[in-house]
Amino acid sequence: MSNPTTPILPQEIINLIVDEVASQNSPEILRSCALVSRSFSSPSRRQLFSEIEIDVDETLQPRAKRLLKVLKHGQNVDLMVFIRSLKVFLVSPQLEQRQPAPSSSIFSQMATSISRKFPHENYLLKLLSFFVHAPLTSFALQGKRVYAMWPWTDERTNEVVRQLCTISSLKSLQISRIYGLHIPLIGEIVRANTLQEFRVNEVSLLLSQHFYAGDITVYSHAEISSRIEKLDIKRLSYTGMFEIFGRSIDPLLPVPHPFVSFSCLRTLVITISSPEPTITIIWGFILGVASTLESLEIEELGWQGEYVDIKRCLPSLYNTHCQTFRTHAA
Amino acid sequence: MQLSQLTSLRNLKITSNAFNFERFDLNKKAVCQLLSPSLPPSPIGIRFLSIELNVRMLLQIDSAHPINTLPAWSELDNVLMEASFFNMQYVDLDFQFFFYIPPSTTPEDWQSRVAFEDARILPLLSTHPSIQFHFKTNTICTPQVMDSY
Repeated sequence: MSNPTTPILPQEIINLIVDEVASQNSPEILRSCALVSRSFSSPSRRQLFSEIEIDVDETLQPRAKRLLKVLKHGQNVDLMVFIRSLKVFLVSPQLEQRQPAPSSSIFSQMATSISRKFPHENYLLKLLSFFVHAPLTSFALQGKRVYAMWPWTDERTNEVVRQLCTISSLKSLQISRIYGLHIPLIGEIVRANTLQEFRVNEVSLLLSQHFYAGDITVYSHAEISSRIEKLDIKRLSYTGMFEIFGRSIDPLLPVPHPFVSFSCLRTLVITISSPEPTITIIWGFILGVASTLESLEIEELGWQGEYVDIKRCLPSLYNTHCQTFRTHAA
Repeated sequence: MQLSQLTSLRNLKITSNAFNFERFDLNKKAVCQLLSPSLPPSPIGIRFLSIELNVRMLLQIDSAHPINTLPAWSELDNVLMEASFFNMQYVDLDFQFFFYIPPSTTPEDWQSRVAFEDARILPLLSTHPSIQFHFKTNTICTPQVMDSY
């Protein structure tokens, strides 16, 4: 029997209240809402689990195990259909700050860290495999604190990340601050053609080992009409990226990827900081989308010096200082 | 490339980083070059223009640099007054000056000597009746590299 002194609100009104609380972007308040009553609990939990963020660091495995247990709990199995957004942050280890370590030492530290993150019982792998079946519309994979190295040593996890990047429901994908991302992965994402927003920035792209062995996959040359409306390709290895878009820096070289047209593109973020042939291709690309392009963000206009990604990446690996002093002049 | 060729373009943001004043000057010229109308002039439909210029300063050398008297400012001022920008409504100009200080230095040891007067460097734009002009400078004193921002 309900308490006569407690007003009973229709569920629709409660849902609206929870929606409003969720729009304030405050998980703490949402968690409090979930404890008010059963009628508040369900919509609050849907909102709480609609966006999930995972920090991949040394403490990952127990956290991943706990989250997996919560999501697979009998009362929570319906939550999966409400998961819309997944963000995975690859947290690089804190490096020695007093003196820059030699690069071999950095990679050694990373290898140690990776072995801690991917033990035999890999709950991150289980968790990510779980999300492959969620109706994700947004996925982000980002280096946090400094650039993260790709690929991970765990090939099964790489494969699940590949699946997450190409889920048919995905509309927005962000890959940021990753060093050594494989071109075939980006090519597969482009060919999946599900995205409306694609942000692949501050990334260096590497050709796969198959490429160096002369085993180049030539894809069907049927043109792809991309659905992407917002493309952020700031600070990227443009030779590889435009190859994926079916455009070659060197007209004498064959392009293994089909030509990609961007008839829906409204927003472009790009760095124009490359040797001359690349700048020519970039301008040609921009002109090719002139009829739809409403917003253009250019970084490093006109710089035509040598652009080698590793020069940007490696100093950032040392850059773990947190102290900043800001003053503002009028 | 001419901006007039981008017939649907309404919002343009340009961010430029310089590691010395020589580069800073070249970056400004590149911005002016991009914004300069074609010959014969064609309409450019940009409604919102944002220019962000970041420059790394050397504490002892660059503080006294006459940054606000360089001739390129009048060039930018004149370019933006061209009739080609018939649709322009908002212009944001944002400067960030990064002074590197050693981590051992305390902020009290440092004092900014960079000062700007927007009306002085872009007099035409700042008094234009139909363009909202926002001008902002940040002076950042930091032991970190500029790229980390």
